[in-house]
Amino acid sequence: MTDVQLRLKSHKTKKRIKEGFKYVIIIFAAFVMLYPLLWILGASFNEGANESFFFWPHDFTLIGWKEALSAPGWGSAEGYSLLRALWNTLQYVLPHVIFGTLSTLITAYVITRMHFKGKKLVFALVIGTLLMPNTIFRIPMYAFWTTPGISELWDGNTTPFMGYLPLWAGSLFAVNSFSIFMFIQFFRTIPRDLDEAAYMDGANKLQVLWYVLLPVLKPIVITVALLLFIASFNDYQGPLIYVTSAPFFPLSRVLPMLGLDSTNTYAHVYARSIVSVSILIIVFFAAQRYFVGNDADSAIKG
Amino acid sequence: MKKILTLAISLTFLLVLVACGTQGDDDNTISFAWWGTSDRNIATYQAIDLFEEKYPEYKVVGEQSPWNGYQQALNNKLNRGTEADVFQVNYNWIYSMYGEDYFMDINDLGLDLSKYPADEHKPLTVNGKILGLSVSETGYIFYLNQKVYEDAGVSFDDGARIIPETWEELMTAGQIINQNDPTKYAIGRLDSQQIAILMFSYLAQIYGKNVINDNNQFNFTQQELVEGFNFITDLRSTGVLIPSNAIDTHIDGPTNPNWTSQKYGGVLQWNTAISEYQNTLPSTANLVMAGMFQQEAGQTLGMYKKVSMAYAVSKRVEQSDAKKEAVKTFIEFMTTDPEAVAILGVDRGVSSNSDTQAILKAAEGKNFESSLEWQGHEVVQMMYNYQITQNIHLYIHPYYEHNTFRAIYEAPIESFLLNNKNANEAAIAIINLFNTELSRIMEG
Amino acid sequence: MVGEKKWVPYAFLVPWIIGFLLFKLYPFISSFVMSLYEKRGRVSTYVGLKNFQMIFDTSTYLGSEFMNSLKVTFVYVFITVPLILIVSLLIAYVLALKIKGVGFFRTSFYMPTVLGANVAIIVLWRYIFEYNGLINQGLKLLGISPISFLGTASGAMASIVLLRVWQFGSTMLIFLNALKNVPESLYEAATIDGAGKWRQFLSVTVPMITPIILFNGVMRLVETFQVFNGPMLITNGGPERSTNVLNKLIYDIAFQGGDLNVGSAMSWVLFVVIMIFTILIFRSSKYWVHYQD
Repeated sequence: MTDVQLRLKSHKTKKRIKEGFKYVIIIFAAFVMLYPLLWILGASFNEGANESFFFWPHDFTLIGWKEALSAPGWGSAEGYSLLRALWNTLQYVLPHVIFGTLSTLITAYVITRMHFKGKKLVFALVIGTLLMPNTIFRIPMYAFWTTPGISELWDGNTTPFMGYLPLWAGSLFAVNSFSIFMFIQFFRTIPRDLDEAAYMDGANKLQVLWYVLLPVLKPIVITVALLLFIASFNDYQGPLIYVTSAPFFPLSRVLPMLGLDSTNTYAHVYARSIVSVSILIIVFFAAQRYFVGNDADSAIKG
Repeated sequence: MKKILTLAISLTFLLVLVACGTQGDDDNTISFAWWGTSDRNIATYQAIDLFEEKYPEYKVVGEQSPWNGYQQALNNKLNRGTEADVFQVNYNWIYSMYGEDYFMDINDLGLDLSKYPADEHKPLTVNGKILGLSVSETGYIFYLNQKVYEDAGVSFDDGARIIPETWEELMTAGQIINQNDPTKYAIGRLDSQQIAILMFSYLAQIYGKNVINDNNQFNFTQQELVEGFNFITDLRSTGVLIPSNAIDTHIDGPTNPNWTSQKYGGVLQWNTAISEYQNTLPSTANLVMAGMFQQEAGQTLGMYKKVSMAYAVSKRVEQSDAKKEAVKTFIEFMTTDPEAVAILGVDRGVSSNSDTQAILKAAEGKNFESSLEWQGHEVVQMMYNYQITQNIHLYIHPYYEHNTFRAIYEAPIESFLLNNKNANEAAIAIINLFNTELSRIMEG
Repeated sequence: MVGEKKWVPYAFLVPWIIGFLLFKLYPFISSFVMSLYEKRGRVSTYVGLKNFQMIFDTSTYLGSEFMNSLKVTFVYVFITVPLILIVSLLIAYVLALKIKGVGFFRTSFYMPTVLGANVAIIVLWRYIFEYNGLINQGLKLLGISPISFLGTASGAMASIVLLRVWQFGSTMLIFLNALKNVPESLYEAATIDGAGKWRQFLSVTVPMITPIILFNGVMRLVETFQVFNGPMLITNGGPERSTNVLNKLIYDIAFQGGDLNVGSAMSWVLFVVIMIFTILIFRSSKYWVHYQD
């Protein structure tokens, strides 16, 4: 081979090694990220504690899965099951997501599409509260919700959704500044001509939002809803301090107690945990095509 | 305009929902809250159902709860005034939860306390008011999994018995077991709460003193306390306890894999709480009651006791005579009705009420007297009463288990167990803060 | 638009106004007021700054706990935030280099973020960090002696840091999008100038995305200062309080112990600390952040 050919060949090999190296890093990282999940899945089919690194179960058993939905051991003749805990969870997650998305959408709409006195102040306050740590609000809100007059409204209330009022009441009033912020950023990318055209046809503000802008906003609405869903579904401290009676326990209160009763095996614990997060997985995959790649882009620019 | 209308309508709708949902509170409904695991929960609901059958004019709302978080929830409810009418409490909560303000004097209910020993309710009395009905008394007892000892070939008195009786025998057993199999121990893992009571029991055997004296001060000198720590070190170097708590971080005893796979040969626990440990063992295990090991054979010293739990009644029950009657009927039913007592069994311990004990003994086919709880109970009572004759008073001080106070002695012990402090340092750490913190806590 | 009624915008704004007043302004002021009181039994008395003095006084039990939590939280924040930024940026960079199956990788990196914050998974991580758990089993295979994660201070801190860094997916996604927006022309120019890949990364990529680094950095900072789930469920603040972060201490004091006043004082200090650092970072940003417009 000539000099040039040799150099070309070594260059190509170097390139391939670099390419391969990329994949090695990525695959190794992905493995480290996902293996614990795989291990947990394997352990849910294993009788007794899985004392090895390998995820494949050595004492295969289906009992964890068969009894995944039934009384979690700390239950009783009344049968507090995982399904019940799931319903309890939905009782605050659903209102939180629905009201939260709507109220922040409307607020962002007003800030970006309408003129009014004090708009700058409102915008500044939204951005200001964006970075405010939640802990500062927790204690006073707790004191508020547990004052004798008010606590009767929700504590022990068996009407659907009402028993969890403190966990979603805020969503009615656009308290999630990050969602407002994301909506604002997205609104800014939609040209006003769209609005103008609709006004010329005689539409009012609400109709413009609903019929004209919403179809365009669909990705961001789904994104915001998904983020609210994830945050609310995973909330631990909230239910911990507000929900104190066993029949009302949502998933995040039930799951930490799973290992503590003698009628559970490890398989039960793992299987039940997986069942609980399966909702998250399903919702995530359903909304994913709108979400991944969309939100951050428009949200952060500018 | 439309928007304002929709807002108004939704708000009204919300209010209607709220109004419909709130539960009414009437004098014939009794709410009862307790903590427990499966067995206790199932039995309690059965007893409640039976109560409603026998007294159809009353209704009981039962609120089960896991132990974890029960105190916090109760605290919250007391603050908001939404606590149950009757609820289970740890005896020391009467002191730390501003008992008088929140709990009712049960004398007011007209319950018959004559079947209880005379001093039973003294620890539950504040300013002359009895703030809880004793459910049972309890003491810390060793329970051993005899199979672990047998398998290693442990035996004493020329094979006459397997279970040790003195600390020396325990350590001998530990060495045999651990040398036979380095992953096995005569006892295994004890947490700082258990080590604390172990040390104080050991020291009480030698010095005849309670941890806290009548002036609410720490009763041992630094030397004596160091002796206690050195004793623990001895246990850790003879295969009785694990050498460091860093190698086993399972905080829950019954579900610890080392316990369920029979690597740990024993546990030190309240005699009322032993069933959880028994339930997780496989059928090949053989859990037996081993009392409290002694300095020398034949002694019966070093037994602390306390009221294990009590039924407290909410102060709001005072306001209605009909409600008081209802609550009284319910409590009497749960503690003295023959069928109820047989259903509830000894899961909450062995009641000190002599009528209740008679019922338990007579319960057909249940064999309560041979249960681990009962065996433990007899030993606790026997040893404690003997100590009284020797003028040794080892009742657990009401603030001993106070949440923030116990950190004062448990934290240095935990440090010691993790090998981060030696015996001297841990002893000094305890003594430095003990008296000041105790007096601060007691002032409220 | 001209004929629109003037009050319409305000009507739309009503939810937010109520939300701001009731859920932000009121608690903000109220928590400060609460920190100035003390409660015994059912009676509250005004005590001025006593609570604040007490929590900074290490000779009292509460004081030593608070200062410990402050220290522990700082350690956690200043290890975790840089770690997250570095790891997510590096992975994002690699993903941005035309990888086959980038969608799969993106999802697999993001999954832990979604699932990892869930209580179920966190509880299971406890088993993974156990002395005989998954990680030590893996170390055993590699011939390394086991680490007692939950039995040593540094091990426990490592476990909650690892738990958080495992969830770097969302930060990574944001970086990924930012990286996509760095114009190819800049890279081309740099290559012509003879700069290697690494040099390009440092002189082209990083400067171009500094606004995103700022955004991610501040968001993560504010969030990690308030960490709760990991220390609560995996280490329970231990061993020996080595992972007893502020949010957990506040929970123990205010909600477990029922002392809302001292809890409020602690929350306020946490709030001020977060604000100080946020402002510091923003101030410093004029030295290192390059905005495009």
